[in-house]
Amino acid sequence: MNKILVIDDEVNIIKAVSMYLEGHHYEVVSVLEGLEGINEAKNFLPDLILLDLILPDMDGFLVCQALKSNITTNDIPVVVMSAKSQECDKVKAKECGAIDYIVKPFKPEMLIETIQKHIKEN
Amino acid sequence: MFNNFSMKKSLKLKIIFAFLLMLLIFTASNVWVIISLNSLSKSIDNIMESNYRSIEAAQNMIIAIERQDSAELAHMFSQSDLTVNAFNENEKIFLTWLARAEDNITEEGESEILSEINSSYADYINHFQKMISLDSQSNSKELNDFYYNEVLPLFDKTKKASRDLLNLNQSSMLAKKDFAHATAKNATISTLFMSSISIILGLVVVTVLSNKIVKPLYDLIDKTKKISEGNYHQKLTVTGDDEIAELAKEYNIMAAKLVYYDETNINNLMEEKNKSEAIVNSISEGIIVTDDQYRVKTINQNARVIFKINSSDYAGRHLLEVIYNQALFELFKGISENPKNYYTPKYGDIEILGENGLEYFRVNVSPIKMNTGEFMGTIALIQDITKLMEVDQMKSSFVSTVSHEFRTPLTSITMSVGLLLEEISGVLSEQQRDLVEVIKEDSERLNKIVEDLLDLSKLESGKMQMDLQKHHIKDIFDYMKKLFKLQLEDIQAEMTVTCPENLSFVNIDINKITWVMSNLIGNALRYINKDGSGLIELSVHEVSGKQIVSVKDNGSGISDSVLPHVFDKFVQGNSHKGGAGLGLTICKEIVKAHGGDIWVESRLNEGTTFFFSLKTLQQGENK
Repeated sequence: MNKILVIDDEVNIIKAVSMYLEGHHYEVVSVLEGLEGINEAKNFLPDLILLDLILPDMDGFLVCQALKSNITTNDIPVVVMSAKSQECDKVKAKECGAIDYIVKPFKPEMLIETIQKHIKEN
Repeated sequence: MFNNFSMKKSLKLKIIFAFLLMLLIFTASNVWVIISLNSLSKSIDNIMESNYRSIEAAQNMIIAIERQDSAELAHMFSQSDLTVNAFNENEKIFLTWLARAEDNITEEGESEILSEINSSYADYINHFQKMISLDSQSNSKELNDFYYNEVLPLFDKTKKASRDLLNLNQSSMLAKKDFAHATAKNATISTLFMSSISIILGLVVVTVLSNKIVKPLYDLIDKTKKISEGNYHQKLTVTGDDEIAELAKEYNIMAAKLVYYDETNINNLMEEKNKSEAIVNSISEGIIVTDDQYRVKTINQNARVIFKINSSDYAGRHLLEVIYNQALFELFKGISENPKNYYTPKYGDIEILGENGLEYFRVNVSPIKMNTGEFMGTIALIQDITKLMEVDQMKSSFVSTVSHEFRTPLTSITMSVGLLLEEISGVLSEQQRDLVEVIKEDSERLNKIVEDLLDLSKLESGKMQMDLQKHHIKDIFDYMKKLFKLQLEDIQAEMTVTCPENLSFVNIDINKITWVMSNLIGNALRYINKDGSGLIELSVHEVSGKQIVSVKDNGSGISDSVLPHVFDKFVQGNSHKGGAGLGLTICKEIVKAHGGDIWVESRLNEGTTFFFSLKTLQQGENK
């Protein structure tokens, strides 16, 4: 069973995404803050991280950079999911090491597709 | 008026008078010639009457007396009745001619000569009678002596007197001939003189008269020319009271009135001009007027403030010289180069760095046309829209923020709906599934609205980045055919493509223009009939550096009340056919961002055609 870490400050998102992914047989751990997310990644060692850009304690880009600079987490693919749809954000996310970028609101099928694509590649 | 004229010494009378004068001169001249000829003829008659007859008489008298003398001599040698008869015969002749001569005494001394002839001839006759009485009683010697001593001297005396008469008349005739010559010569000279005088007089009269008529006319022409050149202060000199003087008088009145009208007109015009200037200056918006060569005609107070023009010396100078603002100039240029453009008045927004940061102005430009339709220049109305822009930006950012904030809840709704529909959280009854489908559908719609709003606010704020590349409209058409193939088949509609060969490239953001095309076709699909008669025609053609793309449908059309607002936000041709009514607004913004125009023509129940224009990529322009 593949493991997914969801880092998002919106409780409803976490709830819906977790339930949906669990329904598709993923093991999901979710956190509401960036720092917590970084720590959890090290412990949980997920197969993929879903990362929101706006977090209460720190910027999503920073979280991504931190994950990529840590030896234990730098191999884990990070997919940014954000309400920000501007090109510059997408470019910046890529620069910070994110493997993909999905704009909220996304369709459930699309989420699954993206996750499957990057886990397979790994 | 006519009475007035007839009462005056009119030009007509003058002309008639001149001709009469000429006639008189010629008549006088002719009379003179006739008189001269008459006097000549009289001189000749005079010669004939007074001298010729006397000469004839004298000659015949001489002949008669010589014959008498011969008869006398003959009588001396042989006295016979024959010689006496011959003598008497010639006496009768002599007396007859003498009587004639006496009837025609014309010359001085003639009557004395005649009385001398008379007395000496009477003596001569008496002596002859004496000689006849002698011859019968005396001898020849006595007779001979009587003849030579008594008769012959009388004969000679009479003959001499007769000859005197002849000579007197002959010399008188010669004198009269000379007089006749002199008369003829005088007549010639005087006729020549009279003719010359009449010719000179005639010339003088003609010259004076024609000058009198023509000179004022030349003056009139000259001054009329000046008046037509706008110099109304003209006065003709009035002399006499003929028609020309009358004309000059009326002309002067007219010129004076023209001066008056001109002055009052100028005053009125000045007043109107000042009034208009005051109005133009007090308008709270800026106004700039240029002629067809971009030369500034008017800049009102507000425009001067807006563009910080301090000098008042702007009239007649080029717009760019007065206001160095390329964006403003482009607007004027657009009107000037295409004054017949149907989408006039056009407008554009310009930015100016003011005291409180950037200020925004909307410039409405319209062509100024004469009554004949001739393009005269351009007028621009400049409105300060800084406040509006601020509000608009606030609105845009508000819309953007709100829409953005919608995304997160929409994500959880979408995910939850997915969860429910995939029955991960449990099996749904049919009714429950229907309800969840409704939620899904409307959350998708809500999502679409949010996307459109965000796109629009990006386009409006100019934050949407354009990825301009060299493309061919035909490629977009081909893509459209593929994209809508299934949908068209569904409603059995047809889509045709008209694209000329050798169409130039356009510089466009392919994704944005594709979005516009698919939006327009999507609209068309919504309104065409679904019974197989639906037709959508895509076409493109090139007009003066532009490509006009059109999407034509044979659908229900757009009503006149809605037509002017189709590009406004939240307007839909028919309510509840899906969408938020932002599609066409976005289309417009995208086309505008490409420097093009978008417009629509529609007839209810016949169909709608959307047009948009894109700048053709010029050769050498390779981006």
